[in-house]
Amino acid sequence: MNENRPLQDAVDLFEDAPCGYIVTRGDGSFVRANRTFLEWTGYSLDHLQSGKRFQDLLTIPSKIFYENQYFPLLTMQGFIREVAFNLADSQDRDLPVLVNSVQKADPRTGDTLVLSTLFGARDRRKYEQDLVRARQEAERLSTIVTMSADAIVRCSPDGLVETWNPGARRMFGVDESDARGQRIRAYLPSLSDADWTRIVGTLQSGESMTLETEGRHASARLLDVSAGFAPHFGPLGRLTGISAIIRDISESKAVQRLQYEFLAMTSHELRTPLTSIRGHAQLLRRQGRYTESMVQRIIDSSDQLGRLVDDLLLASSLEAGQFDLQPTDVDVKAVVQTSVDQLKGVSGRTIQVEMTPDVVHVWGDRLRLAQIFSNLLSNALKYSDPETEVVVRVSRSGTEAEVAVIDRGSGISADDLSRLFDRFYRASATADNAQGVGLGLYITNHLVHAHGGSLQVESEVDRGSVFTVALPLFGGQDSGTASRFDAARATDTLSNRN
Amino acid sequence: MSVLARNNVRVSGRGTTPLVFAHGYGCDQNMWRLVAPAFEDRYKIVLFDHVGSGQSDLSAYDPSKYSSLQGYADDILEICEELDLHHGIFVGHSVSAMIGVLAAIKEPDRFDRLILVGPSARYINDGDYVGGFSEEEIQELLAFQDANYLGWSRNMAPAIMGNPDRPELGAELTNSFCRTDPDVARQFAAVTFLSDNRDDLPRVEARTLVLQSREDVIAPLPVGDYVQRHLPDSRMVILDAAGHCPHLSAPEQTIAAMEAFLRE
Repeated sequence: MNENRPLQDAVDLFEDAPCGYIVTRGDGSFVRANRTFLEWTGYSLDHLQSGKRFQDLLTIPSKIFYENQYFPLLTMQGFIREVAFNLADSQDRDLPVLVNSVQKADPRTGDTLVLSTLFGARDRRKYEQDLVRARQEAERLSTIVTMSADAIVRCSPDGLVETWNPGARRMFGVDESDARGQRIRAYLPSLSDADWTRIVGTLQSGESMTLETEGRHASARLLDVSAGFAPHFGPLGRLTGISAIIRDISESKAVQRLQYEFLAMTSHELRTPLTSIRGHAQLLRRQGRYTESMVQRIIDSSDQLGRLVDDLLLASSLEAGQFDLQPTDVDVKAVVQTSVDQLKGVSGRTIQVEMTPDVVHVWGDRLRLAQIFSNLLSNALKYSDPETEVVVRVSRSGTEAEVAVIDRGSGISADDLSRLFDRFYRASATADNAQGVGLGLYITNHLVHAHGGSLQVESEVDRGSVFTVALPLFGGQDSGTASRFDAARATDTLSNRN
Repeated sequence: MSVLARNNVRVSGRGTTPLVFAHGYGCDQNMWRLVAPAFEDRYKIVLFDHVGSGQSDLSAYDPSKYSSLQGYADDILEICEELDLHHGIFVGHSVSAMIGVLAAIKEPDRFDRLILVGPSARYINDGDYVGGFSEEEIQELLAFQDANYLGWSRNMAPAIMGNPDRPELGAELTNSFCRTDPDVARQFAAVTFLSDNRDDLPRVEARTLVLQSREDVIAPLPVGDYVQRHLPDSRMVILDAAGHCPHLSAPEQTIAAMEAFLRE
């Protein structure tokens, strides 16, 4: 070609266009290649025309792609567009290209020819790799957002919900489709206009912020939440969005409150007998003489203090899972009778005892079983009118011993029932007028379960309550003698529970 | 979703002996368009798309089921069950050769003969075994897939897949055949190129033909040779064709070799 001739005809365009043009036969062997392609690859036209095929110039992954996809598609549809290949140049360097190909019949011979255009795609490939990585990263993050128990919400700068994860759906009971476009503040009803202005102001200054407020579930139930807000900025530093992560802290708030109440209650409970001990001791000193009744009060108060401390210690060892039972063959009827006799003496109340004539033995720790029955009986006495009767009934039901304690007292509301066995929980209706730190039922329930048994409660407000302890019977159906098998099983049960 | 719809099963032909064609990785049943019609007179032709390919039901794609070739083999057996096929002929290309091997081992009654086009029992070299590729090259291939998926996910989005009633739409698509969901293709490639079926070969009872291209970069001659030697009742025909798809590049030869084998 004449070097001095201006670029003007189609041949120039073919040879020097900023893309590679090649013509190959159906089997991939080269017929022609333009100058740009030869410059890119570093091969001479002679070299390519000496039997080289297009697929021979490809790296191995591209060769596989050529065989599996490019060739079948080109053969079947007669063309193929935008296929990514890596060519290996004469120096064996990668040359990323995008290829468009079309099949034509050679007008002279009728043979199939393939006309291909190759575009350099080095930058594009790099961006695409970035895109793939970004997509993978987005998928990973999206999994986290989907799995999170926290509500993760994205809002517009004016606080309208744009995205709403499954955590938010569970927390607020509202589907994403319904939440989208709503004001986020609709779900955080305690945030005032001033609060919101303060939040947006902080976010605009580039800072994020977290505060504790209330969330509202679709059922109108309020929950304690911690809400974190973070800003998103667009070009020119404008606030383009707000991310909110809202965590339900109702439970930890409730535990906090319980612990606070427990401390207050415990201090009060410890102080009452202490005051009594100190008062009577001072009185003794002032009188300068020994009075039997005063010493008895001091001893009673010390016992009360002792029981309280024992309960606290037991509760903490139950909580830590460190406590042992010393099981033996126990006659339930005898233990119940002893507890009844003790409490009758202390309270002066009537406790009606109904016992099955059958033998009722269990494999358990005699002292702990006594504690279970005493706790239930004293609760029944404490929460019922002195004029009413408390009934304890011992029976056998299938393979279980049942001890039911029945009172005609104030009863327990459904709300309180669900949390009755929680540590430090005291039924709301009775918390103010009865003593105790809320450990009794918690301990009782734990002890029953440690014996492989269960504790059921049925109650109706103002009608009374029935607490039923069910424990696995020990020994044969008709006698109190233990079979070795039963003994082993009962021991297993106990050790598993511990 | 019926099995037949799930795998886009197409049955044709005037014969009774079943001839089941299974396409390889990267394509769909269209691959058999130059070969299958030659058998219409004498056989019952069964064509299908693997789940995730062609016009199969994408919603049936279960990543755990299809994490091994056995999942695909089970699909073929389900198709056989549905169509009540027995003593048929299985024709499998590339990875579907081994899928057919697995199906034939599990239910030997389904296929009396196998025709394996460009089979490989393992693509990766392993000690004395020549598979054609190093482990690194296969890893590179799997990474390279993404370079094309970006284009493919745009051009071959499932949303515009499968409109047989509207051919004009097909003409607008960049690549209208062999549509494969990008995520499925990525996993299918890994399952295909990382599988090792060498121990399965001796367990095949069916009479088998290995159809080998003279030159095939994906399944070179030693690979086809290995497959043939380890199949108890088999023979190999080397086609004077280049490339991994002789049924597209040399359909007449492929048909002739198949017919000769079926006449035996």
